[in-house]
Amino acid sequence: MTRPWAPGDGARATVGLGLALAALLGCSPEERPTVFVAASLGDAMREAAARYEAERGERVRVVAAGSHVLRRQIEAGAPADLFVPADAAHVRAESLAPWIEEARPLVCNRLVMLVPESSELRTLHDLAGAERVVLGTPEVPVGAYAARVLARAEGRYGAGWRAGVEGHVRSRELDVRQVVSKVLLGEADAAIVYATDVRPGVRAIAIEAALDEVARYPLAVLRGASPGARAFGAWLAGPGRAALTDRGFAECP
Amino acid sequence: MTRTARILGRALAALLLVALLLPVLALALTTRPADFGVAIERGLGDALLLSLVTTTMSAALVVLLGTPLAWWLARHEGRLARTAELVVRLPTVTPPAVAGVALLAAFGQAGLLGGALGGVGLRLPFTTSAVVLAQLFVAAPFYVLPLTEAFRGLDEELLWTARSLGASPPKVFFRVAVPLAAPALLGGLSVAWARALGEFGATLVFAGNLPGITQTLPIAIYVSMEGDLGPARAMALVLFAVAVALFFTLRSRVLSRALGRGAA
Repeated sequence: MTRPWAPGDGARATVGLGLALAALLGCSPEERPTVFVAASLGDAMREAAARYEAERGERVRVVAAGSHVLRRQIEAGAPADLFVPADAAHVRAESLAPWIEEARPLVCNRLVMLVPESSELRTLHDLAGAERVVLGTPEVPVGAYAARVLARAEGRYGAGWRAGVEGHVRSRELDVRQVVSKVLLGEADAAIVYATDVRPGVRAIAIEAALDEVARYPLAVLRGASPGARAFGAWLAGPGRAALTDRGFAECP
Repeated sequence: MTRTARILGRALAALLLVALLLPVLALALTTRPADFGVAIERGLGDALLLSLVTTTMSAALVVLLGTPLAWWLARHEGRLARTAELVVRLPTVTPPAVAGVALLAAFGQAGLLGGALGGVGLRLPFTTSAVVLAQLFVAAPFYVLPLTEAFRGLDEELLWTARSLGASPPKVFFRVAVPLAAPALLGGLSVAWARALGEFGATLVFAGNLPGITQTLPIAIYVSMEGDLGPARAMALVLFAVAVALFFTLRSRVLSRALGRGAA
């Protein structure tokens, strides 16, 4: 037979609940090697992590987001062991310096012009004829790289061409995945993204080497990185690099 | 024992209050005056103006369209009304980015209505109108649902009395129902407006990000985080201050009484 709620039960229940909560909050998540990577490298890195797990049996956690967001999180003390941004400038930034132990080039990427499959555009010069152009915002690597490509193209095609392109820019997205999705969803006629972002449903138009930009992804080992994470980093720079190049990333020139 | 229980209860409550207050306090304490100057250079003015203009429009739309909807929902019990109420509730369980994708699927140029809209010259994505539409989508439930409850709770006697005294249905609505529901109306509006002000995910996906046209203040803050965090914090403080000012204005006794005076 159960007895009704008596005075004091409330206090006991609260204390019990509080202790349980404290215990839950107290335990920390498992200490897996954690890699923060640029959005554009997300899929390839997850593939690499899967291969690593198959080979060595160690699970690696991959977190992909805009490079500048990840950098802010690291500066605020996020539990990352390795950092691979889409721009080497990030690892040279003053605010990040106290957190970085060492950094070396990992892979590189090129930029391409992305259009819907049914598009009639054929060359970079045709970009001025696109009705809706979507780029990355200059604050993110893909946007900064695209701006440099456009600056070089302006040198060849003239300021009028550049003005035409800029006049058709409808949005400056916050990371490259959003740029690609706009083209995929049929809401943009042209964009400038990484060569690795080409997928079914959209078509890539190559940018000639003289105008193109080389995106450099450095692998930075952060202070306090676990031995397991360092092992993964070493593997990535060695045999693991194939997992990334298989996905379209290139060895750096 | 009950005294211990009371103290414990207060301690738990205080814990939550601190958790909510600390981030805002920290924001105010770590922002330097110089940050505001840099923030203005980074586009604070344009973004703030755009946020104010778009949220005012979506707030106006929410009231214009949501008030009759709330009245209808309150006065009808059938399956159609119950289904409609569920539809109104949908945006609250939709993650903002998903809402953005859904808006594109419906109103995008490649979307369901894209062709039809294009036919009348309306291309929504990447426009300021798209920003307003995204805000309307996410904010509407916060206005309509509380107002519906308030209308439901109205004393039928009062409404019938007004009718029996010769008041037409519109007059009953505006002179009796609305003033009686004024607190819920203003309360719902303040929450809806705040939600619209803070809207980020749906706006970004549906309207994009272009300074002066679609870069609202929340988006500007996110973009600003690329450089020195100071200006981003300054922008965040400005947004917070606007939201608080709006909240207090809408909930003020003056406004409530002015709306309620219609009952006289």
